[in-house]
Amino acid sequence: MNNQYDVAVIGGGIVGSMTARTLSQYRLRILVIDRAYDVGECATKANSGVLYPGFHHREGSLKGLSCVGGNRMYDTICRELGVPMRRVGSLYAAFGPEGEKLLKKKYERGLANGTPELQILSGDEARRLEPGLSGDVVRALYTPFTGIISPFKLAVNTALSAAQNGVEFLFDTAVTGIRPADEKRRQQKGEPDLQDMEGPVELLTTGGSVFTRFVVNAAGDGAAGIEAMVKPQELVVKPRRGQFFIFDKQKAEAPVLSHVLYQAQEKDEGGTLIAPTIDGNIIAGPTSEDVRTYDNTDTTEEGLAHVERVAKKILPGIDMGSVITSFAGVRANITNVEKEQKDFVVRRSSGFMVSLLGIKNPGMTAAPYLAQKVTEELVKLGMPLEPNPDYDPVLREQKPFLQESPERQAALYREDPRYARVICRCEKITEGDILHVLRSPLPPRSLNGFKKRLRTGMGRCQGGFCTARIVEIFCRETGCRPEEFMKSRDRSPVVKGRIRDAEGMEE
Amino acid sequence: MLKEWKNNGVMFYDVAVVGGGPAGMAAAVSARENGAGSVVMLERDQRTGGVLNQCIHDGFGVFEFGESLTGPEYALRWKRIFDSSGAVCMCNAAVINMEKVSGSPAADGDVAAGAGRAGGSGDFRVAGGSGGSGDSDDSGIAADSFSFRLTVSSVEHGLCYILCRAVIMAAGCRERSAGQLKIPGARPAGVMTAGAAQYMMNVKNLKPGLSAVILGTGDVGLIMARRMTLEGIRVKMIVGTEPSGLMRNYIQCVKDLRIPLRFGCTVSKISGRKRITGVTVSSVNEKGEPVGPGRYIHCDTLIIAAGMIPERELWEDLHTPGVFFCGNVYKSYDTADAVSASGRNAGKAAADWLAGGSGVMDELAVDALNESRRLTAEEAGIISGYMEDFSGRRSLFCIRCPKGCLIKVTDRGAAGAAGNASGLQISGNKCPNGSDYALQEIFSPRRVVTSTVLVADGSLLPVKTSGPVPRDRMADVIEACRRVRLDAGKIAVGQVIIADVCGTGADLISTGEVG
Repeated sequence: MNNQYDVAVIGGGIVGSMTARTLSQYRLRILVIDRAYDVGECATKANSGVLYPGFHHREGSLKGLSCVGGNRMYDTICRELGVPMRRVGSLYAAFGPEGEKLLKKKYERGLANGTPELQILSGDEARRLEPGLSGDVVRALYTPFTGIISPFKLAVNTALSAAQNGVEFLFDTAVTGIRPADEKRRQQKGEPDLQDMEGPVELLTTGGSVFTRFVVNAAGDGAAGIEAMVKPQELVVKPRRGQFFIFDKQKAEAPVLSHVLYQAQEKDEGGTLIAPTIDGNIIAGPTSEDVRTYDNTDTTEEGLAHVERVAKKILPGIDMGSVITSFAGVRANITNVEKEQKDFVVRRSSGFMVSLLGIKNPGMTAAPYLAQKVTEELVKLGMPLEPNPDYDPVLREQKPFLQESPERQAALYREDPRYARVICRCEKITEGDILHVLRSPLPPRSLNGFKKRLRTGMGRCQGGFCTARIVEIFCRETGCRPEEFMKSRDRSPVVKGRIRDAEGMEE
Repeated sequence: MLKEWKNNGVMFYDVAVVGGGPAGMAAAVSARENGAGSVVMLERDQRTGGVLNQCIHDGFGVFEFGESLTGPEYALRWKRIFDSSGAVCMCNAAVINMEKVSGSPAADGDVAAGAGRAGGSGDFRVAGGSGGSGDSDDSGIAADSFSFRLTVSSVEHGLCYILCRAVIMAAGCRERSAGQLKIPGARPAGVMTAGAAQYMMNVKNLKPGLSAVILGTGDVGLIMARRMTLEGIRVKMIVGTEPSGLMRNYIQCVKDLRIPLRFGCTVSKISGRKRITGVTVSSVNEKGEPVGPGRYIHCDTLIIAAGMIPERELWEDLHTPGVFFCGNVYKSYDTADAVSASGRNAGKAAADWLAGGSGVMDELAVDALNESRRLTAEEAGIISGYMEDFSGRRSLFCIRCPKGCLIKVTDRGAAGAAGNASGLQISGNKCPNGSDYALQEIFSPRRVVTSTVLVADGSLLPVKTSGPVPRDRMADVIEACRRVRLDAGKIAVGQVIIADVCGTGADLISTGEVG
């Protein structure tokens, strides 16, 4: 890999990957840099998996427009990328007069932002749509537009599509500084004013230097820090944590929940929702609390109790005994702008950089729209838009063996009988599937990487059966030692070596 | 319908047994012995034995075979019995779906109708196979007499189907996961269930960590406490809300190795952003909820031993005519012996049902074998507070078998007065092993040591000492195991690996097979 690029995208989350894919439609050398081991390791993998309808956000805000605009783009994107998505619809519920006022406000916002097919339903009408809905709900705002999707599959497939179209990826690499690429400018007296400067620039990273004409700063929790390298910061961005429960898979013949359920914030509900997931589970959350550092993805007793309370309030029949796991994610939250005025920030940071700041909910929904907006901003900075004749939006992807058609199964089995050896029996993933993803342009490099691509470890047994087998296969295929295989990133080894070492033994 | 399935590789059997562990093997053998006809046993792993393959410790088979065997030995004994039963075994074959075939006797719930249910004379007819030219094998097989269709992912055959008249579910259980416990805190590397850690250590030759806390006082947790300690992993504490393990495991795993054990506690928080750095242990109230600030314990591994859940996702209805459940998929059994008895019952019931009978399983016989001494709350108080009292010269629990007889030892004074040379009177034991154990335990405690040795191809061979060795020599024996590397080649169960290991008088022998 050479280190001269037209665009360097800092951050391989859903926004960075989507932007890279959008840019790969043009003749540009593009590099995505992420400090984690994989794409989508932060807020991208720790959200509710909901494509928001757009009525939550202030009329005409970038949040609102990008939410509705982005959401609309997902039918095509999901088809192109082979990512399952279903528009299950949502109900925003009010339990009393306060809630009804808020509901009316959301209705107006939805109309202004372009949310299609909005309807205000009575409590009974809502319960006809969703029988498990609490009897105390008096009114609900309904739209069929709200969708559910797997954030992991979306992130990985978006990145794979970008890679298929020539985008390069650099992982385990953090950007530590930016300076002019030009020797002359660097030697000028005083600090160079990066803000007005044009590229090319040199990105200093933990993995060496990267030279690039343009930079997209989609670094999520690191975005403010990256932008601060080129311009003074007026926004204060702080970590905000959200905790979730995941429940076991629903029975197809008797589902407990079919729609995404929101609640009007009459008491302390926060933005906590409960929703079906595209894989058949149920997810509830998030909470919303400030934490000191971005790596604080702890769950807490209070937080999980809050999610339980709010979930039971709107769906009294939810069985807490069917919880299979809980987790938390941290998003970048702008704190020095008042809540009602707070919005996504997509802006020119300097003559070579466009930054995205404060991208929290509805970030995933908005990602395709934001990617186009970033492209427009780059064009204003002088980026050429010559079409890439080899661009192919369609990702040719293989499904896991046990989900394929009988004809494909027969062909795959002939290719390698290990396609029939079940490794993750909860999610029905086989050794052939594991070997297949290891051969992809963006192979998993950690246990979480397999989880994102194949759902290993996400089922009932939560990795009890498959983990040791995956460690063994990975070490066999890559030659790495067991203690070098990480769960997520550096210094998170799944095991600590071998019980019996081969070296230095007697016969 | 038959034609369509044949093209995808279909096999016909009277009985399909899902799972090749102790329950499945016993069920398959029993079904054959009771005239069920053709029997196929489907095992997901590359060998039979199920969880027994990772249970390298002993204590299995005391009722079935009259010996204390290791898990692998018990599994191989059953394999021999299975191999001569006429049942067919498919390994590397995972059942991924099971459905009732409509219009079949089972679908109609017609338990009474005998006609047409049995498959025939007992020789199995295998038709179809991948490639679909099997039309000529039709030879009178009536498609509608097959009640169930199993979809199987088989390394040998690819994706294929099994049509059968009865199914015996012997798929075992899974462990309760850490996620289900909803422990607040981080989700770092290093948190795993006891069974997963056991599989890692004893089969895959992987070291789960360097220092551990074990949450859960059940048998798997206790067994792992000992196994990890013997392999140099520091077990800092075992915590749980209440005692639930077998007495013999408390003695052998906790007391012997002086591992701190606390009841009335739980892990209330996990710390560590990448790999676990420690846990907070808190007391619990009557509802099992953590109270108080708790105490932080540094560790890099958290082992969860929080109970078993039957694996019934493939088929949940316990009362479907023609479907029989045995072993841990049915309920939690304490011993493999009881699991085998349960499998025998299911095989017999399936054969009975196929012949037109009611197919009811008799669990009473199984319950008798399930007799085992569990630690009670009172005893827990004694063990956790005053361990030394217990193997003092007053009373002790025998560990030779799961019954765990409480043996009372009284000093009678003059030698010979009580009929034994030691001058001690021994009572409470239900068999001679108990008095033998009591004397040994008081004067020179001995233990059978079980461990693994490395084979040249990287796999692990389970081993044990041919008899108990002095307890204070256990560490030496384990160290000897660490130094062994066996050449690849055929190794049989019982083969001597090291004669007179460490001069203890016992040999180190293989309890598994290679080649």
